[in-house]
Amino acid sequence: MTYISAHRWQKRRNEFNHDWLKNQYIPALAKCRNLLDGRVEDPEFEAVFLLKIFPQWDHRRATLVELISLYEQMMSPQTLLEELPLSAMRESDKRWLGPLVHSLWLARTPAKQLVSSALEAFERVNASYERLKDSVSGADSSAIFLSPFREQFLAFRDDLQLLANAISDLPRDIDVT
Amino acid sequence: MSEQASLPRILIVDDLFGRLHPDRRNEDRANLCGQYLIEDITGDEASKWAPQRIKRPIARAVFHRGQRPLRSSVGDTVENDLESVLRVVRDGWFVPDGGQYWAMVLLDLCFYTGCVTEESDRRASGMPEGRAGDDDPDKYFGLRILQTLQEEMPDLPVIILSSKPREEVSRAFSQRGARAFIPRDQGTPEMLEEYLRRHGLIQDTHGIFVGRSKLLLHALRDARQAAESKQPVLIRGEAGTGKELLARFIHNEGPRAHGAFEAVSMPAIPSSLIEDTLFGHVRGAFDGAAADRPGKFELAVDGTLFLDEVGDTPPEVQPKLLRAIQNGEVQRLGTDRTMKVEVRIVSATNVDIEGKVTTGSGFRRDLLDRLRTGGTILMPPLSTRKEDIGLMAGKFVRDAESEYGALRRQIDPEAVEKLRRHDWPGNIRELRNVLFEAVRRYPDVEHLVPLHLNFSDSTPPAPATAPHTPRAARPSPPESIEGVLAVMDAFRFETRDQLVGKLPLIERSFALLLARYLKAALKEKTENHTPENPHGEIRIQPTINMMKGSKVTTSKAADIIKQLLSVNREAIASMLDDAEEPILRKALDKAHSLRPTKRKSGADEGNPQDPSV
Repeated sequence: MTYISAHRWQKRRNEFNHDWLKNQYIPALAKCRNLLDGRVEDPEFEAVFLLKIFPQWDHRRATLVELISLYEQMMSPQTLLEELPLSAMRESDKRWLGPLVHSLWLARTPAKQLVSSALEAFERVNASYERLKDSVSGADSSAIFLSPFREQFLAFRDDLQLLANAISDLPRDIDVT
Repeated sequence: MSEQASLPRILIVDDLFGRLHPDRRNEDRANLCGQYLIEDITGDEASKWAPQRIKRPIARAVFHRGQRPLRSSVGDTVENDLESVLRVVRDGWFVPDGGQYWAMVLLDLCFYTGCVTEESDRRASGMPEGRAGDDDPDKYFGLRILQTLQEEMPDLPVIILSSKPREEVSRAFSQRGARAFIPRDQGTPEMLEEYLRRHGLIQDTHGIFVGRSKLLLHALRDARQAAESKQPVLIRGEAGTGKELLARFIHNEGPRAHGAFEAVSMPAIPSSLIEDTLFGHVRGAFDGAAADRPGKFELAVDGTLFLDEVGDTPPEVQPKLLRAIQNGEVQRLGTDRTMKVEVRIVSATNVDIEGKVTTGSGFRRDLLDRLRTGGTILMPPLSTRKEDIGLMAGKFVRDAESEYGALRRQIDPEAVEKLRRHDWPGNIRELRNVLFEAVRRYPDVEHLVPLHLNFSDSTPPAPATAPHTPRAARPSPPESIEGVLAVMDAFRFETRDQLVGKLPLIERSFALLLARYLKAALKEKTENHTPENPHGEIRIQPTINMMKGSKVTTSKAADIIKQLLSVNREAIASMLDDAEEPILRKALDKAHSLRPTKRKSGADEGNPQDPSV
């Protein structure tokens, strides 16, 4: 298991969702839409869009899957047993208390449902991406060439926004109430 | 004003989009601009990077990082910099005569600080790692900026532009005066445009209102907001500030722009006729009611009814007016039948209407409350927006030059200074009069100088111009032909005094009005001025076409001219005999030459396409 603390998980979520997905990748696709609609002209962007921007999803998706699947483990109140002061408890007590706390947390919160929604959103994005990748494979990046795929790009962007929302919905704090 | 210069100028304070790259353009910023259709005018990037081109930008934007250094690389430490943000905002916030101001500020919430590491630089070049607390909604630097701006510049419109979850901060940003929240990843150009329209301090791009003073822009913003709803709005302001123009602006900006705009000036109508004017009558409702006639409420259905000087509404009409506004029901005089009307009410006053309510001197509180359900908008007096005088003078001088065929002239700074020193009790109307008179008197000069400006000739301030002072008893004359017609339509002869010996007077006024109307229209359509024929060639058919708004034959045009000038020949004799401007006489002669004998039935043989006639 890759060990990351709750804080580290939040930081990685932030880097993925806030820094990259919402501030870089989605705005680039939104600009692409305006480019395809003839509202923007940017030869530099056109030249690199298919080569460097669009494929970023390929490099990021593994991070996201890991992030989502670690959520339940890293944001459970059970992790508090690994930190002071609760880490000072006897190991034998932690062994039964940890699973109990985790079970109670799962029963009280929609953690599993949120994870499931995020994974579903991921699958949708991935499917959209693969379809689009096949469609534009071997093409150059010019707006003229990409125009026939406008609707597919829009659908991809919409799916990305739903994914960004689903990841944002995962709570930022460990719920101990 | 060029299209580019009239674009709203916004400031975007954001750590990611405001940062500078040492060796290439800020792609994240370029993508944001491409997403929202914003033109980047920051001017901080080397010109060697090819700029993107936004075909129809919604706004021009200056970006600011809100941190120091503006340009950072691995090993640098990035810190938030509130002072630099305030400096940039202040520099563009209504500096006197500066001409550059923020229509709106878009503000990020979370600003990352700390050291720029290899890893953080790889994720986004020049961005630091972030410190504990940067990402805490209670400690967002953006909220601190917002708080400070709210304290120092409470009327600066600020909108949050962030990719952080809105619900985490909605209360905090509302408490600190932000107007709205745009989720950065989900925002669209249309959303930004709508927020600019609703909250931004933007000049009137239609050119009706000239100026960019804060008070004017506030009034225009309030008007745009008011235009969105159908609730009644009350406009307050001194005489001559443009209240009716603002009412039209509200009408044109709203969803009812396709409908009619009907105006009623309460003091211009005898009190006994206001009810008839507003609600209409059925045939036989009173002596002389020969036919059904709709009132202004009916005429304004699906449009806007403007009630000017609503404070002068007679007490006996107020209950019926209240019912009409409250229930959307009107009843013509002479019938019990009510009808539903969908009308947007905009009213205006320059009197202390609340004082009238409080002292019980003639205005109902419930009616006042109803009239301002959708808010109150203040049209500022000219004396409070003197920074606009230079721009307004430019427009009025151009208009006057065009009106009088005068030379195009420059306005000397000393002339503007003289205009600014005046108090303008008659407001914009007085300014316009002064400048029109200056151009009329000196049509052949290329410079407007202080000597040309004569304030004693301008409209004297009406006693009722100051707010909270009672209006003069004598109604001001209508300013538009619609106003003249409204008064004529509404007038009823009710006393014997109004009947005896009035026909010659009415015929005379009627004849003069028609002759003046025809003369103005003939001048408008006269062409081909030559030294031999300085008065130009009279074209009677295009003239009558314009007057009627539809095409007529040449013969018909000749008949109409003879008819118009036959109402009372004695009354218009001096106009017909005017040697300096013989245009009416020439038109009549031409009409007689074309139709010398009484027209026979069906003799409509003229050529409607002949432009020389």
